[in-house]
Amino acid sequence: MANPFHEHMPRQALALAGWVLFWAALERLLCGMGLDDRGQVVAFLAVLAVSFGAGILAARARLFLLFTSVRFAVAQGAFLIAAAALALTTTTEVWRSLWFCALLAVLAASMLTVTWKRRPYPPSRLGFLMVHVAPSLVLLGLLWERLGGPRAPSLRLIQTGFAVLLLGCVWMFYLKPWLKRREGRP
Amino acid sequence: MIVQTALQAAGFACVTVAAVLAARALLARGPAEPVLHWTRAGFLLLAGAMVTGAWRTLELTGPQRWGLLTWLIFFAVLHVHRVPAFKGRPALAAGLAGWALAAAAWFWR
Repeated sequence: MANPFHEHMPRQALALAGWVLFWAALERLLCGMGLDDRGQVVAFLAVLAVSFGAGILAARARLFLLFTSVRFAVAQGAFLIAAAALALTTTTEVWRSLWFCALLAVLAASMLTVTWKRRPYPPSRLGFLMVHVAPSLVLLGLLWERLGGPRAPSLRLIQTGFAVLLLGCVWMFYLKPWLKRREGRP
Repeated sequence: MIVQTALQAAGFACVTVAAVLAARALLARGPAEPVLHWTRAGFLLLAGAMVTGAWRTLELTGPQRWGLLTWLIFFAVLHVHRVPAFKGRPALAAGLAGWALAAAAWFWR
């Protein structure tokens, strides 16, 4: 039997490509309508809420399996790499575009779903929690900046997201194993 | 700026060591564990560079864009090591390809 969607990376990549194209087309349409940054972000949030809401109502169990799949995380990573590579070769600020925010929204939704799945969080799993909450902070910072909020706090939110991610990784990769080794000593 | 550059350089040095170890492990069928340690260290240093400098402004300059790209590459590589089907040689090859992509991107930054 063929792999289910949450295990099938090529099909996931195609779906992500469709997601990106949809948002790129919508952004073009919104720009054509003369909407400013704030209007575009409001439209982005409304369409995002409707799509996630429809997904949860129509295929909650499958969406849960997809968002908690490690293969899907790799597919998303590959897409974010492609976006960053595009940013490297062009002068446009890709991270301010709606399609990049939409990609980050899927990543944040996946991370938050994994966070929900792996609860509860004793102190030993604090690193995992931090790593999986961090992308949402980065997304919030990016959207806040586009909404026209004051620049310094929104940039601080993005930096805090990266700092939380960094601390979470240090906890997961180094502190937790070190504490485990110490506990194991006679 | 100095701190950010130092962290970026140290991070790239770590992932370069990881790439050398990955190439050695692929050729001589060695262990993947040291590769993972060096990749993690590089990823953390690159994340440190992001925190200290890359997001002072949203208009990222060349080296900052390169830092973000490299960081994302190793974010994906670390996840590849976690997929049971890719553990071992495929994950090592992914790390090597990621390093080559990051190195190539340096020239376009």
